[in-house]
Amino acid sequence: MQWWCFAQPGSAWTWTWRPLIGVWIGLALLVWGYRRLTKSATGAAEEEGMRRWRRLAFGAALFVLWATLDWPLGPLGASHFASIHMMQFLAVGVAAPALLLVALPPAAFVGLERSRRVVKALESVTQPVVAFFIFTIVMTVTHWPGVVDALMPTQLGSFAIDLAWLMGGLIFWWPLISPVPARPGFQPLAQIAYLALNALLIRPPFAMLIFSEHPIYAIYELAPPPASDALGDQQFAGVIMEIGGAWIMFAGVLVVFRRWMVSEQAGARHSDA
Amino acid sequence: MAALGALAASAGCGVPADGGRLGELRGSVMDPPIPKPDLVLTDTRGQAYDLRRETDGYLTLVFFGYTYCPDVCPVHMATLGAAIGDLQPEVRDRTKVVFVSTDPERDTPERLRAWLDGFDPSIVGLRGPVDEINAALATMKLPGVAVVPSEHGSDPLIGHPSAVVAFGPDGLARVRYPFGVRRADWAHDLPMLTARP
Repeated sequence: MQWWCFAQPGSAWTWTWRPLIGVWIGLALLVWGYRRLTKSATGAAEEEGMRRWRRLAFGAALFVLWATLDWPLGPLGASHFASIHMMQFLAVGVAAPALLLVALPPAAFVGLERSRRVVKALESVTQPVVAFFIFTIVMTVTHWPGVVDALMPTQLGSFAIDLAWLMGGLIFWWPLISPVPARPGFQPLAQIAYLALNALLIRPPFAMLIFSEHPIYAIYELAPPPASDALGDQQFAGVIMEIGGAWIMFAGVLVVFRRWMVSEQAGARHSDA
Repeated sequence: MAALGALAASAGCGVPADGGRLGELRGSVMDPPIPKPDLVLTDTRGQAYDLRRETDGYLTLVFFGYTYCPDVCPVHMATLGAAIGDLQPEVRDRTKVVFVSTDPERDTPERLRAWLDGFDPSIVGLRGPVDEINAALATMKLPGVAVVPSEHGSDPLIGHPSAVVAFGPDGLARVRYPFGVRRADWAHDLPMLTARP
């Protein structure tokens, strides 16, 4: 039984459905964890509309993770198409972590404050500059050709890459979304710069994807049909990473900007009163 | 499928392309060198093609496969076709790629030509009796063609060697390229191979 998708160079693709049991177990664990966290936060008052939005965000995160990791996109991205692999990164490493954090009510984070050790660890790991570098390093290392070619042909290696993406994404979004630890110094302008810099930064593997003369990943170059044009697929993958990543960051900028405007207006109304 | 796997393994499928270097080359060494087989087949225009005569003095890359192959053949031909497209004209003019069909019944001349054109129109496609092809494979010390019934009752799979054999301009093969060889490897080796005897 295959529990996670992995690269199988030289193996023919079949459209026969096969479940990836690890994906389903992972999603079940997420649902269980979410229910526990939101249950413990039921005492805190939050309007029904907001609660519905959070549930919707959680549902969207689950869908994004399931659609990109399970059959057929999971195996196609692991074994045949670099472009699908990059879409998976945007889903698992960028979009899903943001949705998961947004799905949690502020009260769900409060429990973290009970442990001084946890708060201290969060303070250092999710300090914006540190979080930015952790995310960039995770993103760069997990897309480096030698690392991809070495890890993707095993289920454990492929799972490690997906897990690193999810953890890196959670760390990246944490200072923007989580109220714990409080970061009064991380103001909206700095938040916008944090997101914009990430959108504009071209990392070495992505530049290689677009500008390399030869395919840089062996697993995608040696993938049988339906893969056919390894170099074209790779260039498309680079474009997806740059443009897709930039759009997600841009959406983040819009949310931060809107939140900033709302709080400014509320502040103005308060001082008028 | 198991038989196909065993055949592929015996032919070097999955062996890293850098196993056993000949000087700086990235292919696997063939020691002693193998002479080009005496093989006369039919090309996709329906004309007789004498492998030795037509490719004399050229670097000749020979691969035995079939167009319905779901895995090794399209990958090999895609990497090789892309590499040929990248070659300098002087290297390209001294190189011939020959694809010998191991499934002549299903690989009609039209189908074979269309399939090869998808990789590079200069690739020569040959068809002929399987007995003659097996005799040629035997002289090259490669496993013969084997029909493997499909697991799902659909079209059968054809077992065939998974390596591209490179014959130098002198007609001797000193190096072969198992499955796993990449476009960058071809780009590295082909200019050197055309410069050798």
